[in-house]
Amino acid sequence: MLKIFRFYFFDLIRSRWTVLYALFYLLLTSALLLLSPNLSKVIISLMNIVLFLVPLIASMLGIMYFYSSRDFIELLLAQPLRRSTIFFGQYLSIVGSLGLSLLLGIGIPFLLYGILSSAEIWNYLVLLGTGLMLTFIFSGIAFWIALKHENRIKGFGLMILCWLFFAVIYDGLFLLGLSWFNDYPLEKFALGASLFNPIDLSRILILLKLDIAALMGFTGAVFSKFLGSGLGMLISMASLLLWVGFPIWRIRAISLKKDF
Amino acid sequence: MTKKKLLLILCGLSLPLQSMFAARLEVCPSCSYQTIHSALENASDGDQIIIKSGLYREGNIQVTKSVHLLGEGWPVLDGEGQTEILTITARHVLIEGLEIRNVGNSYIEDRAGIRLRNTRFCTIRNNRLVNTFFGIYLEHSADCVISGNEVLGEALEENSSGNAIHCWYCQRLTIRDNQVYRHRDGIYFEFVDNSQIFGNTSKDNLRYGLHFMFSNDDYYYENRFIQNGAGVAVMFSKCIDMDHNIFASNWGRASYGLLLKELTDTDIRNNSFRENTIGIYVEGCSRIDYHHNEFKQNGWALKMSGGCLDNHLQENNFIGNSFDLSTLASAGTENTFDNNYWSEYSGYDLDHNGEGDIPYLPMKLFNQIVQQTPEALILLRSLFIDLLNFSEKVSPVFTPENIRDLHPKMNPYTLNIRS
Amino acid sequence: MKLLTLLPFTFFLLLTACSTEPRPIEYGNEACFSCKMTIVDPQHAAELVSDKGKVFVFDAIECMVEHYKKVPDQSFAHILVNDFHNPGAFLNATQASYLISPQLPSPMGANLQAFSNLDSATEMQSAKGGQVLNWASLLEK
Repeated sequence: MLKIFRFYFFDLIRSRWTVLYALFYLLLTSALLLLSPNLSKVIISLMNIVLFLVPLIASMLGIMYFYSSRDFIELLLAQPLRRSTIFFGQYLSIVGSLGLSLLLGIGIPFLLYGILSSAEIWNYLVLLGTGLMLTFIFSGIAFWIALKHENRIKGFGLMILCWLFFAVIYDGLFLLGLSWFNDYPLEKFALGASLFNPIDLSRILILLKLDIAALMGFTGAVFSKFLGSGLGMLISMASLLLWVGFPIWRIRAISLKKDF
Repeated sequence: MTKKKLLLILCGLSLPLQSMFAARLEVCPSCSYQTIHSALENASDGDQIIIKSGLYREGNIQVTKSVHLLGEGWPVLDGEGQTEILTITARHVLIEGLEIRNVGNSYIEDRAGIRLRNTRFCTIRNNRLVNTFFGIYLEHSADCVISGNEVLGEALEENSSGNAIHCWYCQRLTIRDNQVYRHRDGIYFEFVDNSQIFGNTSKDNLRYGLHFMFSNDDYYYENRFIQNGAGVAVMFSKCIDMDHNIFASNWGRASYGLLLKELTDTDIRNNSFRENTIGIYVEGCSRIDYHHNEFKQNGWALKMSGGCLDNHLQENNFIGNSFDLSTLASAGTENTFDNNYWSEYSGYDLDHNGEGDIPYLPMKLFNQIVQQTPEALILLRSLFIDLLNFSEKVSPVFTPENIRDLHPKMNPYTLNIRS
Repeated sequence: MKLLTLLPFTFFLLLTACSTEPRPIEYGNEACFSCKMTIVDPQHAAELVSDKGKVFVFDAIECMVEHYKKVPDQSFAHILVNDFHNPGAFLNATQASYLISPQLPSPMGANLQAFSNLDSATEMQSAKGGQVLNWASLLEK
């Protein structure tokens, strides 16, 4: 498995896409840090971009990469290797390379800026952590979809729809639900509904760490109380981990059964 | 020489004479008076009582004569958490240079460090009040000056805390250059008219830095309101002019820089609102002019709720606020926004007259949704909301058209604002 | 399979929708629903819980009464005021006794306090003066 991981990983690292991706973050983060002296503001701007781009890129690159390496997978399948080894090796390599790009792209400028000795370090780590989590989640979903659908057009379409759902449509429905049930207490509903969407959960986890949380009024207070408690931390982490685990479980199930 | 001039000269001569006749009573462990009580008993109107440094535990002290109580070397009057300390009911009393400590909290009585009751022409200046529940409490008094005092509370929890300077049914007060920290309200005015408040710093108070209730014709300027629950609240009042004040860092879930409720006929100018959750919250106010103010990096620069008529915002700078304005759709017909600078404005100025050629709509769709459903705030900064706001900006469908600035400035004004 | 994933979601919806319990007020962090003032005074704060479970908090009893009268069609599961002698403990407002005394200021200028029983209200009345009321007579004022 290590061999397969290493092979794919270095293949990916050398590929133009991942390098571009890392460079993009590098430039963006440096520019933001140069332009704004306020770390908290930089983190908010970055958050907007990370929450938008990370799921999108992870989905797209994940699905593209799987389809393009199909021939090689078939070759590997002919070798005396366990199926799960092959697929996990591939999954980990794509997650690893995308994660590394993100880590380096956002990490280096902040390190040079001196984030380690700044009071914002925890907020920054939450941003980084949720960014990595989202990479795991959306690469996983991409892999799952790609495994399930041999038809590339269908796979791409589904993946885009999936991203669109979590990034945009979900919040639209969320908002509709909120205004629909206006007469009821909605704090807990809002809390629960955001646990079901990894992008929303990441956004709220980051925002609550920053001063801007005060803008979210009483609902925000309920959130920060819940997520600040041990149980809330546990549940939100569990929710994110479930989101990571669910596609992996599906990948495993399909990869064992599938007839190539 | 006219009679009038002669009279004036005589009066002038009599002033130093009076102070020559005024006795000087000294209080200290080795002086002729060991307690403030005994000195007060033997004093007559116009006398000076000099209190030398030391610790005086005398419980409540009633000042019923027109005397000057002057501290030398910061004598400490300690209430030991049991009683109110100075209660002044005479006119022309001067209190200076005292340190007053430890008035006990009480649910039933509003005990104070220094209380002025039914009096006039008193001056309380350059004292230090520490942990006094209510600091300086004026009731049914007029023509008094409260200046240069430091009133330091220890209010950490909201319950059981008093106000630093509390004025109730008063006229023509001057409150200047005081430092009021950590109380419920820094300065509190209820039924106080024709008074001035300036040069004060009000910080870390739980509720408000300055609070007006049912007060008219007051004027406050050049004050600083920092890190309070909310900076200033003006409620059920008329003609409270405000200028050159700083409202900063009043940040929290229920915080405002300035809260206006049921206020009329007021001029608000050259103030700076920085980093407040809400710069100004307005409800049920009419005939108010806001001009030459700076709104910088607030959550909302301005929130206008129901019942507002004739509010006019002109020539203000709105810079880097998360939201510039939140208001009801109907507000646009009854209030005006004109000639302001908005950093969010993305229009153009083809004829180079310094004004944008297309109007600026300061009200975002999201704010309208939040008005209906406050819980929707949890979607703050989500992609969906950004898309929604963007599409509204390009072609407004839901945003009320009449809430707009027809002459948005391309560059910020240079404002005369204290830093 | 698809339906199975929806199950926890609907379950959770049902779970959160139906509580009409009052909750403690976060003093210093919440604004009065009616007058927008920060609620800091536990002796005078009040709370309404609608029959659907929506909670409204107020900085003074007079603010609560004002809002209560504004929405005659709304029914409430709880109408709560604080006991003057035991701040922080909610009383059922319809059962409480009230005292309006100029000697006892309240946040919105009505000088209105609530007591758990008539005796403590009249006791305070004899000390400070004023007028004792019950819920019905308070609503008429």
